[in-house]
Amino acid sequence: MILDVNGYFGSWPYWPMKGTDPNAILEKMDRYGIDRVFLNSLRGVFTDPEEGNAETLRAVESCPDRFSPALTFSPYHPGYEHFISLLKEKQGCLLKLFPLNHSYQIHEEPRVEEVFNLCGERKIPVLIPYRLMMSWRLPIMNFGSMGGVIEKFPQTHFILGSINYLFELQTARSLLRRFSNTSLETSAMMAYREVEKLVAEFGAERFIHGSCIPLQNPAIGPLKIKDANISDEDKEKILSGNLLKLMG
Amino acid sequence: MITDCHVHIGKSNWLQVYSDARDLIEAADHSGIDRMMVTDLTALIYDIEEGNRLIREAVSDYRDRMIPYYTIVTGRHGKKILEDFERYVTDYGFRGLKIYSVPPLQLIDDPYMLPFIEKAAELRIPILAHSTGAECESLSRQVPECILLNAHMGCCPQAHGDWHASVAAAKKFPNIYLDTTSSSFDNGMIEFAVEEVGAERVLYGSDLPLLDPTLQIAKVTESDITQEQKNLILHGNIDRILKLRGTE
Repeated sequence: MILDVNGYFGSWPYWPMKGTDPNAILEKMDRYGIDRVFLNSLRGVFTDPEEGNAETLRAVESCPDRFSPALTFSPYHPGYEHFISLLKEKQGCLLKLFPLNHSYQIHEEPRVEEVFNLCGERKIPVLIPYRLMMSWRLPIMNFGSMGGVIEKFPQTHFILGSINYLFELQTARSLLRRFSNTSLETSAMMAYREVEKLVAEFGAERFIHGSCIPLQNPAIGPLKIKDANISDEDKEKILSGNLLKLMG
Repeated sequence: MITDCHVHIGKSNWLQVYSDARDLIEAADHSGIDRMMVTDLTALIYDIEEGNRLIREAVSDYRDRMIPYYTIVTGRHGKKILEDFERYVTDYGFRGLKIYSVPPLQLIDDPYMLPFIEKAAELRIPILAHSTGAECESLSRQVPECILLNAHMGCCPQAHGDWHASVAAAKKFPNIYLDTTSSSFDNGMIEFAVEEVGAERVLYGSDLPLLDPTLQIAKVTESDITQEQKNLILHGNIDRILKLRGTE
């Protein structure tokens, strides 16, 4: 089974991109054997998290056996109270944050802290992408303050997403080493033998498959795990087992 | 059949890679790569003469699998290096020139680089240019007969990931080719390049040992283009370019 923790749908503002509606995503999922994707609407990233969440939930309702919701929020959006109610009510979702796009700092922000506490209580994993997709054109997060955030919420599980190599991976490794409530999502890992090296260092339990469908070619996500020189058991953990365990 | 137009050998602390010929052959065998065009890291980042001497020795046992580029970090070392470059092509079977742009420290289109570009054009060998699309345009205006392979087709930090700019440059100048290797796997990127400039102007590269060649091959094979177009990208185009010198 292949689960994908990092999917999007909707309009891509920066250049023309085909196949970003849920039906086209389903076709690609079938082509590459991806059973389920956690989706969030790009509208929620760029214009309005509340409208984006509503779109996300509609997309999931249209195909609940293949899609799961990744909800998002901004501490400065007027619908914050409504978002808290939604987070308390929804089952099987994850939280995906875009501080760069929503113009806030992830640390020392009371509403973000309230949400992290709630995610910890309800076992909702928090995915924080380092970048929207692996493109050198897009801005990147500063993960320098992530250690303090992760340390402050030991009951909450953080998934660090879209991290590539060298310096940025070094920061992520440091966080993995220090905090057991942290995993790495794999969509931007492109370096030679990176999956093997990371699994040898940290164990397969710390990695979760993501493809960044449909912004990135979804063939690559599963391939980098399947082609890695690691055991079948480790591959299964990364492709589905670890996320299933996190979601309870 | 696969010919990889972008492979590195040697050592780099900056890139955290340390690979000899056997490492590369092992990786190529795993990914199904028949031939690799290889550039030396020592020449690229430390000492031009030493690096090119090292690669000459390193590939000597693998000439059926490895084709060396002569690599320079700048044209400012002058006549001796220019003479060496010609000698390595005519006497030692080097079949390309590798140049690297790191603005503002070193630019590939500065006046000192021009004699090397002109010499490569005279020798009818390709130039692998790690650069922006705009720099390739500039060189093409000055030496229209040179054969430029735009490394990463803009998907590198120096070019701000702007593959649209590289494709536009290739559309303007028929001597510019696009090398597909990079950390970016943007949905529709290969299809766009093929549509704009034709599959005849797109070349497969891996950036081994930095990036995973299996994923880079899948970038081509899993794109929505015809098998004939994939074959051109994976080997047909670079094989054709290598024949221009008349010694293949």
